[in-house]
Amino acid sequence: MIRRTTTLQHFLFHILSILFGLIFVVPIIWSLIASFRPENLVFAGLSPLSIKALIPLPFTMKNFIGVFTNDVFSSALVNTLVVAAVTVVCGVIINAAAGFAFATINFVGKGILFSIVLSSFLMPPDVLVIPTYNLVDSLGLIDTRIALILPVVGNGMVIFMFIQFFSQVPKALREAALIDGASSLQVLSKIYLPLTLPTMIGASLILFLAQWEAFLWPLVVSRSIENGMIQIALSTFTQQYGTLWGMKLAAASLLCFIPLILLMPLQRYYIASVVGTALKE
Amino acid sequence: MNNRLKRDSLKAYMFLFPAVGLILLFKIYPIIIVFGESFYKVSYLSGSKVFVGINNYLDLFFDRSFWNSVWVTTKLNLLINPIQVVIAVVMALLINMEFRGRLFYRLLFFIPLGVSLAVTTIYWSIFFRPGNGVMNYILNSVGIPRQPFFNSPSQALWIIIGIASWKGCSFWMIFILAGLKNIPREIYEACDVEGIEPIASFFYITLPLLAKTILFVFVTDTAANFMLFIPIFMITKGGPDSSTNVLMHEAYRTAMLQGDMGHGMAMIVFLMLMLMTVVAIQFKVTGEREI
Repeated sequence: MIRRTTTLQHFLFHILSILFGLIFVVPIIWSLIASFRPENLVFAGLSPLSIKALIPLPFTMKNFIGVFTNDVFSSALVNTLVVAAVTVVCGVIINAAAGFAFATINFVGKGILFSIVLSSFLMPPDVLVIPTYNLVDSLGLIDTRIALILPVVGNGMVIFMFIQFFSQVPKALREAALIDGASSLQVLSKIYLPLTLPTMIGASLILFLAQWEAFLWPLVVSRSIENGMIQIALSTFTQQYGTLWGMKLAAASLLCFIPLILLMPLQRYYIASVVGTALKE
Repeated sequence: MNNRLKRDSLKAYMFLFPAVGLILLFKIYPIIIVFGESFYKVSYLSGSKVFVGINNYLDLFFDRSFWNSVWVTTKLNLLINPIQVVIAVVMALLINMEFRGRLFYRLLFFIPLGVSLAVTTIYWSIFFRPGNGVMNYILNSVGIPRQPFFNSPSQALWIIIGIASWKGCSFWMIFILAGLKNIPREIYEACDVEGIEPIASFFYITLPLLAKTILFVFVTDTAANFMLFIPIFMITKGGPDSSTNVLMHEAYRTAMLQGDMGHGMAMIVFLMLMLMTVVAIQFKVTGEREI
């Protein structure tokens, strides 16, 4: 949007942006810094408010060491990474395959199956957690890694992303390959998938974040320490006699910097994927 | 049906089966389960299941705690959705302006995208800690007495709204931003030439052209906030005095903690119907002119 703006307006834009920016940045930066202070000084400088709150002194790594040696949290971290990795790899493959079929093949029942896929991602997932618990219970899968992975892998939104991308690939490209004797599977893996790197990155991020941020589903379905997921494991630092704030903030910082490090360089793909599916409905 | 279509269909099903099968099993079948189970009662002790017809629904009708949750869910959504949409629009307009440093601000505005709601809840629960929290210190230093925040029935819901919005606004902003980018620059150039005030051009050009995007955000945001659970579960557990006990939390408590599946399912059915009604109304009210 171009507009001839006055200095006063410029000034206002900056003030407003800085205000929003501070609200977004301060909690993250403060908790990172505070988690490098010893437990009894975590809240130093907050009340009364002083610059001490933003200085990591006396410096200690104790909280981070504590987090990594904490059984509940460290096994949840490992489990979450495994669950997320399996979800990303399987999710990208099977959703791309489904998107490929929708975009390139003419088949019986296409309309119905497409509306099922579409309605599945318009329905907020948390609403079905309790009946899904019933289902998983009757399958005998409560408190298993499989139960954490399966419901998240098939993802209507990701299928939709691939449909959009694949329908832009020229039909002639596919037909030429088929005439040359390639199978559909080869067309997908040799021609379509290599073209679709941005969509695959976007899809991977969406699936990764779905598991990284999972809360309600692991809350009801996981019981044992090995099947714990990190967002739930955060509560392990709140104990009967009080909260270990230093460790809790160290863990929270880890939970927020790991995805941010992934998202920052790849934000373009993530945003294009999320927004793309929405605005082309 | 000709042979080619038959052969193609078979091939297509092979590609579709894993993903669409999982979606049917975990996203569609549970909808059938929730309706079905809402007509049963599971005995907590013996685990046996008895068909009770519409009894679970009748019980809900006389359940004051349930109606309170319906009211809290309604109130939360009437407040949170307009707030989030307006802030998201303001944020998107800001970083879509051409002024120095906007790329830097944009990076800052995107930060909440990578922060989970559980972590967000931890941050703000520290900030709003009753007693010696940071916010109370700030209030105190400008002469306002300490506030109880999430220990107060009249303030707790607002804190929940704030927490959910910190995360939510950034997410919805990216949709609005994409909508803004779709508006041709030439229109604004023409405005400049004609000497139209920026505020007028916002209301007469930007807003109407953005209407479809805003409606989409409004509807999806409502769907998300109907299921808001994490900050309530983590901080207030529905309290104080059930002032933050949204339907999703009440259903979780009934089904998972009290083990009363039938009742929980009936609540979920009600929640889904409520959401569908609201979305239909949103489309009817806002949609007729623009879509």
